[in-house]
Amino acid sequence: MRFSSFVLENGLRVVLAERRSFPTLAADLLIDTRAANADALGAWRASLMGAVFLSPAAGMLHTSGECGPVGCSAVSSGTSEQLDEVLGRIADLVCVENASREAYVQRLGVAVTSFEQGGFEPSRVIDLNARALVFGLGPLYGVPATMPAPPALEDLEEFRRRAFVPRASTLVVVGDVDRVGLEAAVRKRFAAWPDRPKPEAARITLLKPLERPSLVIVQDSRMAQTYGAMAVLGPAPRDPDYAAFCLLAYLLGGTGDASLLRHARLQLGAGYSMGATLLPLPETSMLVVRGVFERRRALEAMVAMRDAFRAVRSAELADDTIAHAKRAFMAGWRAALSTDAGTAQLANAWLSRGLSLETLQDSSADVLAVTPSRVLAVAQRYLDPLALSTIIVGESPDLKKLDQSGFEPPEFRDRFGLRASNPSSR
Amino acid sequence: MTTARYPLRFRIAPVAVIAVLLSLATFRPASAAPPLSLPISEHRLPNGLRVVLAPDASFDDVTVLVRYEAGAADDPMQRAGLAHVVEHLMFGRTRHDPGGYWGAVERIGAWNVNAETTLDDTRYYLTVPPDQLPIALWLESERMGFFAEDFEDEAAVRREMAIVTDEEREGAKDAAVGGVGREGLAEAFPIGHPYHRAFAAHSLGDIAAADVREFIDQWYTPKNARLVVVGHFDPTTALSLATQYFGDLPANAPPARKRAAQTQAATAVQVEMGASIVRPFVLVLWPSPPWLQPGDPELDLAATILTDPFGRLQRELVANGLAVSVWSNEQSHLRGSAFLVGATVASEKSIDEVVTVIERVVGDVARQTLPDECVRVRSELSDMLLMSLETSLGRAQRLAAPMPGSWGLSTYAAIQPSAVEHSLRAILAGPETVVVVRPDGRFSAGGEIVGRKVRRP
Repeated sequence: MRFSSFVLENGLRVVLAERRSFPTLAADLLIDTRAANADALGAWRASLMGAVFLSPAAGMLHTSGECGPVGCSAVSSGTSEQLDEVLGRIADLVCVENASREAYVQRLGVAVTSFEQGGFEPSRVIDLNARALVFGLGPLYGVPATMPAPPALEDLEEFRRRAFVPRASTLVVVGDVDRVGLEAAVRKRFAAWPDRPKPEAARITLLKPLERPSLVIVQDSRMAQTYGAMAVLGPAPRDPDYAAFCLLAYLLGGTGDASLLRHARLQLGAGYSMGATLLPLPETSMLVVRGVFERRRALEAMVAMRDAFRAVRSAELADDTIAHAKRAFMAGWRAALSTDAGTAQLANAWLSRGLSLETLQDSSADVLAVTPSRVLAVAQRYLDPLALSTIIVGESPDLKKLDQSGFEPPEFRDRFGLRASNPSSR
Repeated sequence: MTTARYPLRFRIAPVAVIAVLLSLATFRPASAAPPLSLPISEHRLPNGLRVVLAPDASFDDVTVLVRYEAGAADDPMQRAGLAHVVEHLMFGRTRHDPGGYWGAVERIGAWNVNAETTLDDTRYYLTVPPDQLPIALWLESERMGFFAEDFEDEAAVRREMAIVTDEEREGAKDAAVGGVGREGLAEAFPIGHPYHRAFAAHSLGDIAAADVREFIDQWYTPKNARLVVVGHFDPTTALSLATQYFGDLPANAPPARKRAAQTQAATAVQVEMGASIVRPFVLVLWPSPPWLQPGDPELDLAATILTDPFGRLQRELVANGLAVSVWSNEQSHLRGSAFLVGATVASEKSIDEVVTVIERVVGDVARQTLPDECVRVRSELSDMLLMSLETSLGRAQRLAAPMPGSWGLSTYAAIQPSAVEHSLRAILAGPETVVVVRPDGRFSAGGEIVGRKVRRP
């Protein structure tokens, strides 16, 4: 896939990947909002931003928007004849106010409630606690140290004014569209977006391993299952260690043949969902290996998870095992690139990590070139037991058995990653 | 083909296949030129296996999908969940592949590797690089022909039952209002309907290895299956491989399927649930015609008219501040469907008022569907059908249970407002189920039933 690009006078960068075999297209606009995230409200406000300002209005088909720790994105897709409509939907979401003030206030109320409701979703609880442990209680990628009052609409509007600027934005279009047609359509829809300076990005401060607890339990006896995870900080995508770290994600949970999955699911029969997610960020990355376990088997499964981390850093893995992980990586890579929307999202994510699109072409080759000794070296560098954070959500396992299994005494936290009291001491 | 790793069984397969259809389906998007040509050929092997081939050299992959016409509604009495447990077990070892399916698919670099059990069918699929098509076909033929022989692994059955239970708990118990649809559908499909038990069962039945063998022997036969291949491949070679690998599997006829019960009276029932949620949720549903039967595509249009971004219920409920969100769909199945409208109620707004508005607006569309609305949603749905054909897996899913015409793209083209009105009036004359879920921290997120009452006898 070849990418070409141009920049509008207002600073908006536009990237095109032509794929002319099927009459569809997708567009993905990503705004780098890291600078605007860097205060006490941090990523929480960013998530509200998406719900308030990037909710599709009437008539916006096949369109969605959201904000995360790195940026806000608006995506839309359609048939190739709908290029103007697709770009128009994104421009209406991002560049102008597309709803009444009353509607924004209503959306904010809903977003705050949804955030609270999200606290009941175990995967969200894992995510927030993992971020709190790996990035700390602070701005940008972490979580707020105390749960602040919901921001006012004016605060979000100020965020939007500062952060939603063309110079901080990249529009990637993939599909059945040519360069000339795209340039005309982009000018029509985005040329009037006012040029304003891009805010300076903030620097993040990472926690030292000993500054965080080794084991966190979020006690909720209403959960039918026990949700377990181990999280660890990884290298930045630009780091030479990153390719091997990607493979580690696949080795630990990203393949159906991963030893953890085999052991916890096929031998213990302990759970249905298991996997690993690697969150790449411009300055760093976070690996989370997670599983959903039957309550009675959860401790055994968590021991299996910990053993899987130990195994990859204790000795070189067999060539066959590494080859499996590489094939799984390539399968994921192909799947991501199999749709216009997937390709556009990947390209934008790539750029947001500070990488050039030329390296996108070569990145799979980098992973395929990783050797077993390199995997071992990277595992030993990043997967030190002191660097691992374990999170258990649901009915707490027996603390005595946890201790006997070699886990450190737990710290109890709430659904949002903040300290909570030990439920047994109440 | 890497025969060293994959000890292919030696079989002499019949070479004759009957090509029952060879078409060059052509679809012309509204303004795109030249027209999109997507060839499809359908063949039937002497043992009854239908083979559907849809080559497209613009892909750099190929998807293989096998659909068996056996699903959760075909579970025997006292064996709830058997079809789903069988689906899980089917990723285990077979006679000629003792290493098991997962190891094999990872050696060939497959993706989209998955299976799904619906009420009516079970689908297995994987996407591979083009040069791995022979192994992908061989693996599926192993599944079809060589899994159940002498299967006696009671421990594996117990393990997969536990995992299926875990899957249910994750989806229905720990997800916000995850159990609501299930409870509503159990109510909508009455006792005696083949779908009722599938929704009403809250735990797995008593399943043993013998049940697994029997289910597979009965249902996983070439005559009851459809093999779909889509992507970058040579159709002649693919048909030859399909014939070689599947052609000599025995042609057992599947059992007759349970039929749907007769139409119900026009009662209205309200199920009350409690769940760990922040805002109340309501679901209103009506039984509707089976998939692609008259009325079913029309109800797709009705659902879109109600809740697409321009939809009438978006205006009446969300824009008016009564609800936070609203959605609707026609959940289509082979032996009966359900038309659903769900809404999350806004703070301090009346649940009853939201239900009343839903009933009124659905009734309004049944009385008068505007021509402009019909044109708008026909276009939306046709675009969605086209866009879902972007990947080889998307096309394979479409061909697994084929829709009429060119890839089903004309399904909605001729539907008129009067047909939408008629379809809605027909379901409104039948039974209605309302499920109300109230926030209650005592219950799991998925919700638990706390009461049931008759709204209209």
